[in-house]
Amino acid sequence: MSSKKLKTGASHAALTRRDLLKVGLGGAAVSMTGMTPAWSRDSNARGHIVIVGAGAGGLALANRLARRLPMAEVSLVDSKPQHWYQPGLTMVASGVWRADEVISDNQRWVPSGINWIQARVTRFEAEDRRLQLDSGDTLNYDYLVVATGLQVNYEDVEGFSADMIGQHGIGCVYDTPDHAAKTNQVIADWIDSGGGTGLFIGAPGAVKCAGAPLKMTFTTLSRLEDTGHRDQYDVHFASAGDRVFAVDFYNDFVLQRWQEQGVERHDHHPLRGIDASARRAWFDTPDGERSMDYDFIHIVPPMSAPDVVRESDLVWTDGPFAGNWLEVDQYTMQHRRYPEVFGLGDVIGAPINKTAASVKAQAPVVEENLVAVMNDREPTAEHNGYTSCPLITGIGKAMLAEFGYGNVLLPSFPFIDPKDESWAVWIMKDRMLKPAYYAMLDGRV
Amino acid sequence: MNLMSILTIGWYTLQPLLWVIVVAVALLVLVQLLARVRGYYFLAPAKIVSVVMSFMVGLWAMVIVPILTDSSFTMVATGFDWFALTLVGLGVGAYCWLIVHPMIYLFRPSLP
Ligand SMILES: Cc1cc2nc3c(=O)[nH]c(=O)nc-3n(C[C@H](O)[C@H](O)[C@H](O)COP(=O)(O)OP(=O)(O)OC[C@H]3O[C@@H](n4cnc5c(N)ncnc54)[C@H](O)[C@@H]3O)c2cc1C
Repeated sequence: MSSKKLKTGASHAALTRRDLLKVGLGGAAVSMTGMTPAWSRDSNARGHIVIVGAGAGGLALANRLARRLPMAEVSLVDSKPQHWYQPGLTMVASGVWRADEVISDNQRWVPSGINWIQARVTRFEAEDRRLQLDSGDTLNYDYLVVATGLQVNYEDVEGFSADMIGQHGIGCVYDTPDHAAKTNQVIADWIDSGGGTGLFIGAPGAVKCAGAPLKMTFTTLSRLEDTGHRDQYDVHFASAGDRVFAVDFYNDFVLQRWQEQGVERHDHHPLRGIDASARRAWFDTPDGERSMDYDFIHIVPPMSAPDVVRESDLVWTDGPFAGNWLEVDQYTMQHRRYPEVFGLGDVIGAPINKTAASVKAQAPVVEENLVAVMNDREPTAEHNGYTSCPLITGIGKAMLAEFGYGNVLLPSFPFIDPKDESWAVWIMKDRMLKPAYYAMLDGRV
Repeated sequence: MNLMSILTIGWYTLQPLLWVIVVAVALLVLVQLLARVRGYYFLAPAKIVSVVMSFMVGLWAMVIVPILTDSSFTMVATGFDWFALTLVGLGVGAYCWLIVHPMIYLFRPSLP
């Protein structure tokens, strides 16, 4: 292990004009009242904050902290040069968007004044507040935010690997633009073949955007209906349990709609593996092993926190998330054993969440609580579990499912009924959520 | 959501349409200016043809906009959908009238 220390300074040089203005106006207010406002004390908090992962969560928080804490040193660690707007992948895999519509340059979102270290963390040493990087460097921190997203465990499905996506009738919308584009192509090939069996696999456990497997089924059904020969295609959906959605209303809605659309459902059918060349899938059902032949299959592999997190002291050690997800308090987002550590985004072990919408709700909570801890205060901001999924029920219409812990509906817009399929909600998905997401990356939402 | 959030989201939403907005505004300003030089004024008697044409264009927009958003007219279902689509129709119709009405003055052979 390298003992070389990485230089992390030089991040204060590039304060933006807005920062200076903020400090200047704040200073004027303070000198007029003779008091020190709380936010001003907060802004003076010092220390080295390291954010691991420059995805949706890492970038949103980095931008917020760059404005909030001009005196702190913030480092962002990630080697990925591109940013992918992942909520757009279902649109790509459904043939509505081009793959390049979800790709942007990561540099565009990294705020000035932040030290972007283009490397990957290979080891978390929580006891020593230290990270090992794949560049061979060591990075010390005072405060750590883990925002590494999750890893898709393709190989947990026997006989399957990521490089098979786009071949042998195999699709998987997770989790790159390339996979999504190839999925669109195999669906198109299957439709062009004029008939056969399509097999859609449900979420095997906690996955990002648990609605995505349903959306892929619905948009493919739209494409099949558009051929005018829907009856020539058999569509099957295999769930690991007996549900397809966490919230009862949406679960019942989807099941009812699929019944009307002629989708054959198979409950308690967790996918064990596939034989790609024979186009056959195996399931471990309560009645023993069962196989099904297909012409097209949409696979949803199991997911977990990245191995580097799973193998660290930061992972949950007991309970339903043990060994798989980052241990945090699901409300404060603070690590339950290491108070200087916070979690953000898909990596955390908490019920529901795992959407960009959750990241939007979590980032201000992490910001507030991190600043509180830096100022020796108790973290009091709480995340209510908010998550959202514009549930596409066909190409051109969607329902806006927004809910939180306990599966309580949390609608944002009084004029949109969360239980109605709507064109306006589709427009949100098609045209407005990407701008809202980019504003979130900018730390503006 | 504060003003900055709304402005940022609005900016990212409009960015891909900026060229359309610029062309539309330029056309409007150009037609209005030229027509005014020839004696047009805003409340000049509305020619029936400009009203009918704007109405038709507004209706056409209500059919075409769902298709332009990767959807279709048949997907317009809720009260809010209809409200939004009606706003689109009214907006496009009004814009059309602001172009067609002065144009009639611009191309008429003699001034009133
Ligand atoms: C098909 C699909 C559809 C979706 N649909 C929706 C939707 O409709 N609505 C919605 O709200 N959300 C949706 N999502 C979910 C949303 O995209 C994610 O929840 C969100 O991106 C999570 O953000 P994150 O920051 O936790 O992870 P990510 O955005 O994945 O970023 C994680 C970052 O961490 C980096 N990283 C990983 N390991 C390391 C390491 N060891 N060292 C350094 N860096 C590391 C990665 O390179 C990556 O840049 C969808 C996702 C997918 C895949």
